[in-house]
Amino acid sequence: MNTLWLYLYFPQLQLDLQPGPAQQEPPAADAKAQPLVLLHSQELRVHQANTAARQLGIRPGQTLAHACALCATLQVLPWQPELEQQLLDMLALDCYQLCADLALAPPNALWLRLDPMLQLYGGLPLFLAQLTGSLHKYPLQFHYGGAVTAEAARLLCLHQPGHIAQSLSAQQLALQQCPVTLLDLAPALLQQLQRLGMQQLGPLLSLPPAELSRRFGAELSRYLQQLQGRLPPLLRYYQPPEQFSVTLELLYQLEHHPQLLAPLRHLLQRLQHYLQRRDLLCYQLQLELTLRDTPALCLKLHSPQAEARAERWLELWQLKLEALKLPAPVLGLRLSASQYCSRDQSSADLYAGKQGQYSPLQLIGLLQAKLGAEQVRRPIQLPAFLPEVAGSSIAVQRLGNADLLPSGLQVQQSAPAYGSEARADNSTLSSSVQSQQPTAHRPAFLFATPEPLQQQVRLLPGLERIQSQWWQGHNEARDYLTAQSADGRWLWVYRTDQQHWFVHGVFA
Amino acid sequence: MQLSELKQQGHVWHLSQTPQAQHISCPTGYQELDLLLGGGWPAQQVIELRTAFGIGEFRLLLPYLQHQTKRNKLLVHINAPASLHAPFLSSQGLPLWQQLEVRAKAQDALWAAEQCLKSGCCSTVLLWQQTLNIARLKRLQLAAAEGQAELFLLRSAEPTQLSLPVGLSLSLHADPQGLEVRVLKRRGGWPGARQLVNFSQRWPRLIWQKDRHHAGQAAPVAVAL
Repeated sequence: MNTLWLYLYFPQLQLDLQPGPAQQEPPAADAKAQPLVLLHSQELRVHQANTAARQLGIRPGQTLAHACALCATLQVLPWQPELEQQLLDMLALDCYQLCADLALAPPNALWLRLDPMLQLYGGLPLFLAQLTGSLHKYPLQFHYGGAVTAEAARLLCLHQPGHIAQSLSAQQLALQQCPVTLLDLAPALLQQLQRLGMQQLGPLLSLPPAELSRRFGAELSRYLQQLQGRLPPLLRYYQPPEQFSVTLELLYQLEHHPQLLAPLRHLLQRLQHYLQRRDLLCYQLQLELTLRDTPALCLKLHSPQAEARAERWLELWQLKLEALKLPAPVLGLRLSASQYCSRDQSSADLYAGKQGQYSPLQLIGLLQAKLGAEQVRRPIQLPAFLPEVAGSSIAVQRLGNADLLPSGLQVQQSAPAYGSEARADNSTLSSSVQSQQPTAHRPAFLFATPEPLQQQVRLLPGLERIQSQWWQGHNEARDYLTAQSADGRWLWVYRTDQQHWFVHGVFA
Repeated sequence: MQLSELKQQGHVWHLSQTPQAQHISCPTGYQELDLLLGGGWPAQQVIELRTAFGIGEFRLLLPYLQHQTKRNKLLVHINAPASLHAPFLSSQGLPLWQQLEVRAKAQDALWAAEQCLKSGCCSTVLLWQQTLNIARLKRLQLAAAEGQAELFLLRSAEPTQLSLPVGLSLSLHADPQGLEVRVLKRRGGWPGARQLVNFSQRWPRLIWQKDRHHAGQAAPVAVAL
């Protein structure tokens, strides 16, 4: 069976997909009203022109002065090859969902190898319907052409958009009229061919190959052999990126954080798209803000509940950005994601009645985003005699994700061997402590640092001596007593060797 | 002030229009307190406790909190005056994974309390907060009803503070035998009732026995600094 290649060409890639203020408004009406061109910044020539500009007679290749003379209110933006590369990557990622063998043809086209895919889709028309359907999501102009060899597909796309030649003979026939200038050859070689009077591809192909290579060198004959399928095409197949990372250059400066939300939403939707395609969720996002005259600002946002949805992430970012003071206007954003996981295995109980607004992990994420990660804590217990070691609190963020909701809501054995000491300690501990000292007399609240006792208290009988170990720094013995202050507060006080008294806890 | 205004502010209400949730109550774990409150803590409400820190207010709530652990939801402590001591919690059967300690500034604390109540994944929120206006309180009340959670608002017992339109407001006072509870305000009931909650059964090491009482007084500890 023949191979079949499809060449997808996007003539106005940057112009069509350029993110910016115009895209937030309904694009159709707005963009049509405003003539807009992209300018090649080195040659100072029009590189791409939108429909409104074309109607005024502006064509790619004209000089800026020419274009401005045709339209006084012309809007001019620079052509950015890097941006176009990014957009092409995005489109490649989309097409990768439909077609496995895919090669980039920078700056603004893609090659798709269709013949292995046709059986899956049940024929070429069905595949093309899928493809155009997925591309019509974007306000994007595209042309395609198909042929048995990759290079022929390119020529057909440029020469007769929409034509698909499924056999070598059909391809040969379709290429007869193709102008020589479209060939992907060195300009000098093209000029040489034209000067010989060869304007079309048909006469060139009918010449004997040996003669051609003797006259024009090996390059032309190799090219023609590739075109006719006698040599395989030299293409590198596309591999989707491992990590999500998107940059957005703003065309304007942002000075207040609420304005950041609109471009951020755009990036988060790209993230959502990326994650949904892979059936993944992610825990952590990193936002890098490019600032004017100031080093870039890097923000990290962690959500204990893995999320893919843009709306959820936006909610968290909104809380995070509220606390942010921008040191300088923002020129660009870069969003990258790390810590992926596969989609949640657990599902909610259908019969549990009314479900809440958030899951516990989402709530923790919300609190962390607003208050700061260190402000949301959980008490932990360790096997130690010193009270401040035995019971302390730790920021929830520093617990492993597996430790956040153990017994009740998750199956305990499923926790991976994730090197977290807190967990091991927790589990060994709670059993041993409970069995060994069931009636340890401990207060509900403990002061982070013991406070000197500064009031008159009455002591209850019953003394507990706790001695710190020699390896714990200063060795001291404390005699703990229960006491009640004059205003009725129950305190846990201790006396040191030097007869100093401290309040360590409160039996609230 | 007109009657309609009073009604709007929740100071006067019709007995026939008491909300349904009023009748749901969770046992407090102390019989005398259940009698005083007509069954227990009102569910899905804001409950105000006027109390000093450390006289036994947490132990008063403890049987209720132990009961709530069965719901497998979070128990959030916002701006507690000192950090929670994990060995005490686990000895009382409160699972540590359900506990969440949050520290925040006053305004953020109210926000956090509202989010926790609304979330539907918290059984109870304990909020230590001095100042609160009526609008914020109403939001908290709505959030509590939405998320089916209880909010205990712990405030110091200064008499000058604004009285809030909460469903239940109690003031707690230290007593040698336990805790004296006075009803400051109770929806569908009369204020002014008082009751001694006896801790001698549950907390024998934190009360003054009659004989011990004198012994304790005989040997006070004066601390010079």
